[in-house]
Amino acid sequence: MASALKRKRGPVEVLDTPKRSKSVKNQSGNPLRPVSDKAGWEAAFNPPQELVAPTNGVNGNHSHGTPESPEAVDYEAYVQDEKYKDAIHQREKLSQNVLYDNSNKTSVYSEPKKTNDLWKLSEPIGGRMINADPVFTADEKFLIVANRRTINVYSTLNSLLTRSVKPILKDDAPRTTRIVTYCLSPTHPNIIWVAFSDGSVFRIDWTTGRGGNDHWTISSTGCIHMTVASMESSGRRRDVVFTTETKKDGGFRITAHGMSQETPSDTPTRTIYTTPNRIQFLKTAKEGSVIVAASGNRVLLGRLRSTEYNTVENIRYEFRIFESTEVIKSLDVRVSERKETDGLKKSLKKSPVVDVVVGNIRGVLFVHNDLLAKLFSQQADGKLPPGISMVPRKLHWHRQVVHTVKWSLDGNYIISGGTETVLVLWQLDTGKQQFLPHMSATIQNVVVAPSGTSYAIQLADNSAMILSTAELEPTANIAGIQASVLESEEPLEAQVEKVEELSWRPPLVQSTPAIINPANPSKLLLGVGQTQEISATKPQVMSNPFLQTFDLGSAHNLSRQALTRTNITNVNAAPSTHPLSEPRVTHMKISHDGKWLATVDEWTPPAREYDFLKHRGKDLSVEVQQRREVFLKFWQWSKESELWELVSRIDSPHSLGPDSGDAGRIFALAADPSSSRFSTIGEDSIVRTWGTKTRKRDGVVVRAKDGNAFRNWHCQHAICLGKPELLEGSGHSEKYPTSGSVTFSEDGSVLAAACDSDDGLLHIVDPDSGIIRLSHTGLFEGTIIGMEFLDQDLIVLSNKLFVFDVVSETFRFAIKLASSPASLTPRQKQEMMHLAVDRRSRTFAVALPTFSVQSGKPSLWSASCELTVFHQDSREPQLTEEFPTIITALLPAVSSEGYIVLDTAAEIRTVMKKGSQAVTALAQSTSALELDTVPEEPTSEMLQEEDVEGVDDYLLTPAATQDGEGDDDNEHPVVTQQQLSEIFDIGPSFALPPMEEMFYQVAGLFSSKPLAQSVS
Amino acid sequence: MDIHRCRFVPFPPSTINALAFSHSHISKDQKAAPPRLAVGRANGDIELWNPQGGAWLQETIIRGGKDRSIDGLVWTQDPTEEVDGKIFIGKSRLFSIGYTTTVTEWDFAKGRPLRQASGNHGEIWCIAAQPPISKSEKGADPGQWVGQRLIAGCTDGALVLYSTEDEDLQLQRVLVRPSAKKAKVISVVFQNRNIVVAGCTDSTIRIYDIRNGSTVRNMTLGSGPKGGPKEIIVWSVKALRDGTIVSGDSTGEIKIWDGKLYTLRQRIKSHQQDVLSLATNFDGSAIFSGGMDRRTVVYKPAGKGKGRWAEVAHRRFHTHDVKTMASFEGGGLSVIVSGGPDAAPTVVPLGQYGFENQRSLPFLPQDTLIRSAPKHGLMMNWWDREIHIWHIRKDPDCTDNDEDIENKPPQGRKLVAKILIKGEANITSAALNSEGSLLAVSTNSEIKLFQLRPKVEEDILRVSKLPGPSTCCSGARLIQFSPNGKWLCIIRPDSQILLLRLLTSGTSSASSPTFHPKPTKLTRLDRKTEKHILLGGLGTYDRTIAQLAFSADSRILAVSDISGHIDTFVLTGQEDLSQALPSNLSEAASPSSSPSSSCESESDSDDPDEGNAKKQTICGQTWRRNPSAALIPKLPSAPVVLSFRPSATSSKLPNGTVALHSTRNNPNPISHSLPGGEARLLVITSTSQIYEFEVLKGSLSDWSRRNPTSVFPEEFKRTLETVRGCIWDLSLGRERVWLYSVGWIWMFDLSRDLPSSSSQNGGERGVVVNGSKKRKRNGNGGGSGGRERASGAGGAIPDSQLGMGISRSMKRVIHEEVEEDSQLIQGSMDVDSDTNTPDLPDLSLLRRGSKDGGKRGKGGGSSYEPRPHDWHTFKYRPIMGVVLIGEGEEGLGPEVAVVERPAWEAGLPGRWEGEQEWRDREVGL
Repeated sequence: MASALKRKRGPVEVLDTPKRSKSVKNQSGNPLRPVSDKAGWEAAFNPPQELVAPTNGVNGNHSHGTPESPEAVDYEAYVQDEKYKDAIHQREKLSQNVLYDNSNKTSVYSEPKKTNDLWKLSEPIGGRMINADPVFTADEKFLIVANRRTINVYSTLNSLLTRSVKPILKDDAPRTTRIVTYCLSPTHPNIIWVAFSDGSVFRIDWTTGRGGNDHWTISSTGCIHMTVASMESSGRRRDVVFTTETKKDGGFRITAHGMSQETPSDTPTRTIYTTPNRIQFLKTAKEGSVIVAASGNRVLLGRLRSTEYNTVENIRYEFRIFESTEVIKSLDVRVSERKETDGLKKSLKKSPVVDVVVGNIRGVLFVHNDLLAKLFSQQADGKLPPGISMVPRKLHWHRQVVHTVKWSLDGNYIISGGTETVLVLWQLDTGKQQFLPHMSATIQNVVVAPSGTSYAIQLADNSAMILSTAELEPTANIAGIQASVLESEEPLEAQVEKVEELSWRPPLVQSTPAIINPANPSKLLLGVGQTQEISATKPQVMSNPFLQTFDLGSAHNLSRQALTRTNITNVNAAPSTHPLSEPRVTHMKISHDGKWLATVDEWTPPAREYDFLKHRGKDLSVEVQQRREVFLKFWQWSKESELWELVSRIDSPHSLGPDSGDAGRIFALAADPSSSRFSTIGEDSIVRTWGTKTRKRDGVVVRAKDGNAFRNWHCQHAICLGKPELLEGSGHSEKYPTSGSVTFSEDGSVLAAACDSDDGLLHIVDPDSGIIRLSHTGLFEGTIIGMEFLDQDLIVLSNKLFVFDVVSETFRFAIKLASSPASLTPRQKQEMMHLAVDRRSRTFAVALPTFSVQSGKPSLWSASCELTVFHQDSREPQLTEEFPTIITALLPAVSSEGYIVLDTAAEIRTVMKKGSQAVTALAQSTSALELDTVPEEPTSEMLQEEDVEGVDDYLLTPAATQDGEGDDDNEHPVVTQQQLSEIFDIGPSFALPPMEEMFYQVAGLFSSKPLAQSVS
Repeated sequence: MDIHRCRFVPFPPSTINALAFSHSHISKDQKAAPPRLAVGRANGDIELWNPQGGAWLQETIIRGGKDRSIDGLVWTQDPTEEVDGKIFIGKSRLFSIGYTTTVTEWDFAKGRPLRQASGNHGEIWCIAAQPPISKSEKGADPGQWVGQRLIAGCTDGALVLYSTEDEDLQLQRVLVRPSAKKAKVISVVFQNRNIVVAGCTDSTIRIYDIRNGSTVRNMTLGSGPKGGPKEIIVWSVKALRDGTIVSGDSTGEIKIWDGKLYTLRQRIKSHQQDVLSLATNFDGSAIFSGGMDRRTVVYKPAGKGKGRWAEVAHRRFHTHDVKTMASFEGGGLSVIVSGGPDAAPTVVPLGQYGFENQRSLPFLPQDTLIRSAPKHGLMMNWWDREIHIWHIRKDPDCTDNDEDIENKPPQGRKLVAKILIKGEANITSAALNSEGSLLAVSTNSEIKLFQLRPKVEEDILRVSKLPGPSTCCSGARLIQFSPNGKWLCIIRPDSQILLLRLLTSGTSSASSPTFHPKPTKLTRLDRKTEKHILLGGLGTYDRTIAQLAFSADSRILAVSDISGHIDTFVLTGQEDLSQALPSNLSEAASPSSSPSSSCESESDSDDPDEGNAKKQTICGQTWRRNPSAALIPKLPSAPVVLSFRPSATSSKLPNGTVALHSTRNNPNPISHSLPGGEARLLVITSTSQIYEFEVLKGSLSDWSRRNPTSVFPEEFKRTLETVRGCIWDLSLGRERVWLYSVGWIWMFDLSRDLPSSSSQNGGERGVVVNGSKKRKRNGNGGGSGGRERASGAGGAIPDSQLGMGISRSMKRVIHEEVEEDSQLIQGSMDVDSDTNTPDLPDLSLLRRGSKDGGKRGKGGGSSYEPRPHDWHTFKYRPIMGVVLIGEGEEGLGPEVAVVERPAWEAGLPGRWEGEQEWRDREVGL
């Protein structure tokens, strides 16, 4: 894998320490030099030979320094030079530090540790729930929801994560391996079967977490769907796992596996059905005697021919297959006892009544009553007996794909849901429908609890809720990170042709606006939307009108509020059935004290609404531009309502151009780290600083209830980065800039701002006076992506990464991007490249995407991301980490040294310095939170009888805290309760600091003071 | 052809208020009269449709009149009796109501009311017939009257029983006395022979016993939904065979009531608006409902438990309310016909619902209602009691763009006359002579004649009424002028044929035309119908004359009736205007004698000599029956087009027909020479069979022998729509006929043979393949001419488009070993066609064999085909009619006007339910 960064190669002489030398203009065109003896990063990061900053006019108001751009040498080109290949190969062998290897992908995770063990990458938290039916445990106290690779057990009483199990996969499992299905064993209620897409099946005891290490491999070709039946034969009851997978020689099959625990190596397997079509759904009923499957537009109904078999190898099924015209998306089967046997064949008199409901990708539900008897009642000549009507009931309310459909327990209702975000309850007898509208996102899965008293609903916004059946009141709500994720496979409903929505060309993943609240570093604020799945080939322009507050400590959703207008309580489709689009929050920043939030949202009307203007011969893009809406909003944190309250809304803060009145895009938003001040830069090449003003009415200060004056936001300065008079070539003046960046220095005294320009012109502005103090050229190349201050150093990310000392006006170093990220379009760069600085550790981090070249259409599946952490003073990266997913947000972890990384799997990882754990109040993996002793209570309850006391006990003491107490009680009874409560009773369980920190605090008590206490 | 595309003709379609099949069900072994569908419209018309195994034909229209409407129709069947081994099929009788206090019985053979009955009660809103007696009931009580009584529900709450005993219609008793507080009876049905179920406007369904008039039970529906009116209106009630009562009401629900306990069993909310109509199938295994929301909903018994029903599917077949429904099963058909204000009866498959397409029958009458006078470019159309005459001109500006004619009315057309006839009766037919100077208008009661004279200064016609001859006072069902304008043919309502001779045509502006005072009466061949058939079933209805055609030289007249018989008459002798008018008008000759007597007199006067003695000679000419008329066979279905092929080339051809008849001379001083020339009559039947007869020979023409219907293009044979007329194109030596129906225009070149199907797909094989296909597809045999009709509706839906969630066949896989396919959806009934085996094309091939070969040789290969044999377009629809407007320019062919009447322009009455408002309402968005 190519390293995303091409390092600037220095001259022969190696400088171990960064040299702040002055660059001279004539020092261009460094010839390639032979590689030095030094191997690895040292060699790669030799400083530029001479970087001389111009000395003239540093103090001038409008003087323009032109530090010579350091010559960036393409490392890769250098390596590929025939002459040096041998040398490199040798060096690879010799060197202690393995050179970044192009071919060895598996070493991705292990390698950085070798490179640098200063930093470490945490296990991910968060993640997205997979699109599979959640599982209620038998007693309905827990709901099991799976993420990509973990099984999470949530309590239905308090919606908290009780346990998380991460099965250990084979070493050679592909990185895209994920859970496809999981189901509760009908034989043992504390066992769940989990099937992975690579064909491994785990038998996990969810009450203890055991079973995550061993697995059966049912197929080398992977697994598409799985279901489990508890079958009894020859006096033995066992779990039979039915799976469907690809055959090696093409085609698909359904297989039955008898997975006995006693002899794990020996799994009797029987293929019961093969077909050339993909089987996407399996379901069994009546102890495996009935099996229903959906394969494309076909419905397969099988019944067990005989219960007299001793092993699964002898199991025999008989199938009936019929077609409908549309691809089946959802299916449910209900089995009940037959009461009337009139007019049935003898062989069918004992068969159960099998009712099947099928939902297809066009939104139609078909209800087949008593399907088994009808299909199997064929006479010898192949004809059906007269009087049997095969035609199913057709229920058509959904306009689009029916994502899920379920029978109610009594069979009188059907529950269905889809992209309309409406839960529909069909009363079959009267034909009446009941609706629960305005769910927050597409309904993906609905499950009826075993007792029928509640429904579990999984939504596409990575949340799940439990509704009571009677009142349809939510009783529990589980939400993960609602940032967008990349779809894992193309959905079935993609076959339905739809009106093309605006999509990114070439494909890109939008960056997720994310910030950490400095006032509460465990609070992560994210700009999220309703639709989260990004299409890999045609990523749509996604709106994200909501602000999600996510607690990193407990990996728990705290709140969600709207930042812009939304379509949740509105009609979300135009009369022409086009979906209505919502604004997109592009930037989000929070003030240093965590009291003010500034957001930028923009909305462009869809181009199809301007089709009628085509005949005028006008350029439609101009028309659309003129109708763009851009808002800058300032929000104040309200302690009472625990919400952000809108204080000021500035319409069209920037215009399209200097003379235009139309709203222009805002390229960057920066927050002053020292005061309540924000700054923006927009398409009109104007930097604006925003500050507060006390609100007055008739000269009297308007005060809130608590006596504080209301404050409004207004524009303090508008600084025009006018370049026309500076540049002789005025031909550029017509072109609007396409990117820009603005940032405050750490003390807020300096504002750096830059807009697109050919010569990399960057301005240093005094934010208080609004005067451009200094201008430099050559500080970036091409599109400017990001800019951050770290002490006096200004780090600028463009096609090159420059570190520029503002005080001495010298380049620290420069690194050129590899060809792959550099060849991206400006838009792709803006959305997919990230720069962040961590002021505590004096480091900065860069995330760069790479598209591996693959045949066929450009697809986001082929994209990956590389995160590199540099220290301010060193060209040598302290960490290089390859991510299989794309990073959508990169943030400094405010309260500790390190970074927070959000990727397209909606997982959050922290990159942190080793040894700095004591100070971190940062994300830990949930599995770490989940200590072994916790579920003891639930398990024992489950195995015995339902015990009310146990529940109460459980309610009172959240899982995470119990262990600590339990551990401590045994060993150190001398620590007083008060001391412990100081640590633990500081807030609700989800707001607690991470386990690790608490542990150190508790450990601190026992390590430092016990002596004194024991003496006393 | 030079086409004027016209959409300006203001023909208003009339709401369908009532639909009734003469039988709801005909089982295979049941002897019954052929089924008919009666359609009652708001303008008082009653249409009789013949299902014909799926080739729906509108046979006749019984015209209504001013302020008359048909609000309910009901058929009864007199019991079938067996006397002396002969089965006397009971008479089918049709009754109607029309928001008056009267029940009317119709004589459809004569096209007029037969008898009426009324009583001292309010307006009748609904009517129902007693179910026919079943065999077991008959056995139980032999003395019982076996006919069907009628029950009428009135707006004042009265229920009245009418007896139809003794071929009469009389008020038998008032079952429920009208009272002030009682609500209107909106719907009524017999649950069995004694129990009547009446749905009322006060949320109540009342059940009465007709034997003693006692109330059996009142079933209340409760109060109406919140926000709506309190009272629920029961728009429709039906009873299933097992006694279960189904009701549809204004809440949009259908309710199912127990037939024994009279309690509510189930309610199903399936409509967004009122349920207006209900229909059930015969064995009670399906319910259909239609509502104000335009939906047609199908219900079937649900799987669980007895007597539970469930909505299976719904669709919008109509563009407007579904007001009425009727079902029919039998004879290969299994259909529901529904109708409403959109005026088009829609045939929905019943047994094969979801697997066959629905079919919308045209709302335009089969007879085109449009006539023209080509010589002056006049076009006339009529409806109800109005006639409009237009002058169609060639638009000088846009000769090449015919379609724009509608946009530029001033140039293209002008309304030159507007006539509203006096009297109450609607126009049955109208005729314009070719000069456009004379207009004849007929109603059921009289014939009116108008003279049309152009005003010189304006482009307007002056209309003046002429005193008609005394014979015109009895009305007509069809009138037509002969092409030379000398004869007016009148088909009277009882299907008698009269011919009137115009003495002076009155083309000069001053003089008015005069008629020969004595009409010629022509009698058709007696087809020797058995008496028991004449008296039972539909009676003489099928002898109703539906089509009439004059030859181009006006010397041959052909008429055809519904049963498929064609009668031809010829005009003998030379015209001699010097003959004086007969001095005394013999009253005996005036057509007052009853049709039956004329039939009888005709039967023994078959001898031509004797017949001639009676014939009247007018101006030296005599109409007599074509001697070879009897040779023309009865066609399998009713002819819908009769047209003589205009022999543009006949004068050049040697006259071959005279020699044949030359022996038939007689000493009468008046010449009896038969008309010469070729008289080829093109006949197209309602099942799209095309024949051409040499009328004077009484045989098929050579062309028709070589080109039986089986060699016509597949696409043509598959069309469902009935041909409605034809236009000949003889310019430039072409012999083309342009046929048109509601949806298409089709050209055939009759100068050549059509390419035979066998030459394309290899002789015998094609036939075999065709045959086996037919056998395989079981239940598809109902159609003739290869039409793919399965059960009378629009044909099978291809597998790829089935929207029912289930395929026709299923696959069985028994554990990887056995795999086989089998049918899931069986045909509604395994009725194979007893109609006709496919024509074996051997003979026709033999006949054309040598000729074909010769042609090929000359043509130099079959690939080169300079002119197409046939051509068609679906561009114009719905076509109300195509008429000749003028001769047209050289090379372009005749100038015609294609008159369209799109339903969306027709101005239907307002709808309660719009397009998709329910969308907003549903979720409360």
